[in-house]
Amino acid sequence: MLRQRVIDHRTLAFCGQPDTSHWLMGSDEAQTAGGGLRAQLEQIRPSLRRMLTVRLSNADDADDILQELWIKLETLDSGPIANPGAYLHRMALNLSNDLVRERSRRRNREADWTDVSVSTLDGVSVDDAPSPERQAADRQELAHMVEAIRAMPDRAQQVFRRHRIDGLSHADVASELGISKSAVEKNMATALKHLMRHINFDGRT
Amino acid sequence: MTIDPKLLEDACDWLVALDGDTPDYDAFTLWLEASPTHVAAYDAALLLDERITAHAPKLSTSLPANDIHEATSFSFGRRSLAAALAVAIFVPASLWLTMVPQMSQVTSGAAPQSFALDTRTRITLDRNSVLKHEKGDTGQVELASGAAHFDVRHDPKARFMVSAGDVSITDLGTRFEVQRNGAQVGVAVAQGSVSIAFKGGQPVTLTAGQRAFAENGAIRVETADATSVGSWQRGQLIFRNAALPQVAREISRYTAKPVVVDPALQDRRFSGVLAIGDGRALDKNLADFMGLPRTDCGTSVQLGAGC
Repeated sequence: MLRQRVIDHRTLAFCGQPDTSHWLMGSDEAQTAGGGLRAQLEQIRPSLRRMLTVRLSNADDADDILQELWIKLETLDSGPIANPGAYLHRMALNLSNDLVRERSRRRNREADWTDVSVSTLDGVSVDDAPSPERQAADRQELAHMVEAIRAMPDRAQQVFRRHRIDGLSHADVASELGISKSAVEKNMATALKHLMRHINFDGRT
Repeated sequence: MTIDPKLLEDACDWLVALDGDTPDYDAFTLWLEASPTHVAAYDAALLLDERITAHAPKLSTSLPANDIHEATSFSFGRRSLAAALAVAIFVPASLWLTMVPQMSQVTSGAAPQSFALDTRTRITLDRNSVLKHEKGDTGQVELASGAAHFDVRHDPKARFMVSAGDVSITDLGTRFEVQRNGAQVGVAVAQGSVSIAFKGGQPVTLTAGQRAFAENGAIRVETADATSVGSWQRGQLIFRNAALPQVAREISRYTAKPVVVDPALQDRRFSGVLAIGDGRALDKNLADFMGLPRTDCGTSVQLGAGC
């Protein structure tokens, strides 16, 4: 199979893994942020692959995620990025987490024997027709979560609610409460550990 | 599989660190590589995180502001205009570094908070309420949760619009309040008139002395006392011949658990003034007033026997 020396957007969809030893950046790609990120991805590909392989326990899945990431970068419209390496690791990790979540959901749905279609609401997947058992379990879980949150130490509770429930960033919680960002992180960790200890998830993998 | 609690704690630390400014992905990879149980612990922390996200909308209504005993930075009192606005910049997490319009968010604490949105619009937020608007655009706000009272000077050139879920309320120069009580949006006009509509639905005009309840695509209009409009600003809830389920819905904004009504009591009516206080005793006060039993049903409180 003839490998092209200069790769442009159109052919990328058809070639498999780009052959990094012969890869050259097309001049039009160099202009776009997506093009710059793709160059960066190639540079840190081994590091990304290593993280994804251990995270997914599987090198093939890791390669699939990298492929998905590559394709996503084509249409990505972002401004200048301060730390492209961190940005790409974040994207890769998110994609791998999506994969794990989707597989787990599929497994659980099959176990339920209910025929549901998944729709998303503000980025959180919700089953269209959760079974009555699932609904009751959700209500129970919510009640336990409320109790657990209310039992959290005051500061950790405050930070947790402002960040995870009200949606403020670490920086904004820090400035609102007059504490440092690392104090926000410590409190978030305290809050999560508290929840982890106090809630029994319904044992689904 | 039971995972070592210490590992779960480490995984929580990682989750927070990865959410921070400069996560160390190499260190994270090394930690994962130490053992498959570390990967399992990370998955467990992610599951917790996902459940929090799934429950977040209900959590915000289930947790009354009075719980937090530390002094928060919001308090009712005299403030400079800029400080009164107390905006926090809210950027949706999924958009990373793409260009997005900046949203401003105003959140009240344990007491109603009053501020001027601009020179013609004065807003009072009820306790534990959230209002959002696009930075630089004060002609349109979103009542994300709770209740708010609006005092808008009429300007034929510039409409003022409030959105609450699927419902939009367009001001025609007035004093009015908007409440979000679960899935219901309540609107009442003390002065002037507003137009209310569901997305894609027919608008309904509401004038002074009227109250509307918008739910499931339908808008129901009733008469209302002007004094009852935004009465929470004075620490009171005023009802005149209100259906008991409606009263329950409205006090649920303040109580520790949502209040529901025994189906057998759906048609009971309530007239009276309830003092809000810290909000926690509202269901008890209502029950005592009406001579009804009150039953704790776990995630809710029911007026009437049984659950």
